[in-house]
Amino acid sequence: MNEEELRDELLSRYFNEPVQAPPRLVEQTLQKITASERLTKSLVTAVVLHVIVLILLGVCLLTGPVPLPGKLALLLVFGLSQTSAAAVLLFCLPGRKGTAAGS
Amino acid sequence: MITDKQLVEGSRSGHGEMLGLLVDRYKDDLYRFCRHLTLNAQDAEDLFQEVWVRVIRKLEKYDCERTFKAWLFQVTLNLHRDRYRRWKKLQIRFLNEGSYRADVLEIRDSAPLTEEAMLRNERNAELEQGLRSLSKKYLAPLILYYYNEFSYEEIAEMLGIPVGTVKSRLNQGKRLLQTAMRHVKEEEQ
Repeated sequence: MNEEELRDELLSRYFNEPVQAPPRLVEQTLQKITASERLTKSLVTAVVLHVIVLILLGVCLLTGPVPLPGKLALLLVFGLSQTSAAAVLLFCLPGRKGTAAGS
Repeated sequence: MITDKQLVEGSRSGHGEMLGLLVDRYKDDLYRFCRHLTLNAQDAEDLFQEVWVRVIRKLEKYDCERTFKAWLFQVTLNLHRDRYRRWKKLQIRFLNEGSYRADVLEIRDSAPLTEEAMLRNERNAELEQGLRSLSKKYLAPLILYYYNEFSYEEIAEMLGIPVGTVKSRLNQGKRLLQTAMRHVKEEEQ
C-alpha cells in the first residue's frame, strides 16, 4: 500500500468513526428552538407596541399647545432613541453567541 | 416509518413532536459533522443547536425534492462560515494570535484503552493537528468527500462552487494536509 492509499484510508477511517451526540443535546436544542421562537415573537410584539406608542405620542404632541419646532424636536428625539435601542437589541441578540464561539 | 418529507411537513405545521423526531433522526450525523468542522466538542454543540434554530427559520424555503440531509449540511456549512468569519474578525480586533484555545479533539469511545486504541488516538491527534492548520475552504470538501455519502455534484451544490473547484480543492487539501502532518511529526520528534 503506498503513502497516498494509507493517507486515504486514515482519513476515511477518521471521518467515518461513529460519534454519538451527547444525550441531552436534542432536549437542549428543542428548548433553544422554543426560546428563540418566543424571543422572536416578543421582539415583534415590542416593535409593534413601540410603533403604536410613537404614533399616539406624535398625535398628542402635534395637537397640543407646544410650538411646532419643539414638538418636532421632541418627536425626533423620542423616535431616535427608540430606533437605536431596537437596533442595538436586534444586532446584539443573534450575534451574542456566534461572536464568542471560536471554530 | 415516517419519511423526512412527512417530518418536515409536520414541523412546518408546528407539530413539536415531528420536529423532535427530525432532530433526533439526524442528531448523530449532524453532531459528527459539527465536530469535524469545529474540531472542538463545545463549539460543535453550540453549532448543532444554532443550526436547528436556523433550520426552523428557513424550513419554509426547503425544497422537498432535495435530500434533507444534504440541505441540513448546507445550512450547517453556511452557519459555520458565518460564525468563523465573526470569530475571525473578533480575534483580529481583540485577541493575540497566541491565545487561541488549542482544545484537542478526541473522539472518545467507551472501549478500554488498548495499545491499538492508543495508537489510533495518537494518529487521530496528529491528523487533527493537521486539519487545524488547514484553510477552512479545504476542510469542508474533505469532510464531505470522506463521508462517502455525497457525490461531487452534491458537494458542489452544498458549497456553492463548481464541481471542478471541488475536485481541485480536494486534491490541494490532501496535499496540504500531508505537508501539515509531516510538520507535526517532525515537531514531535
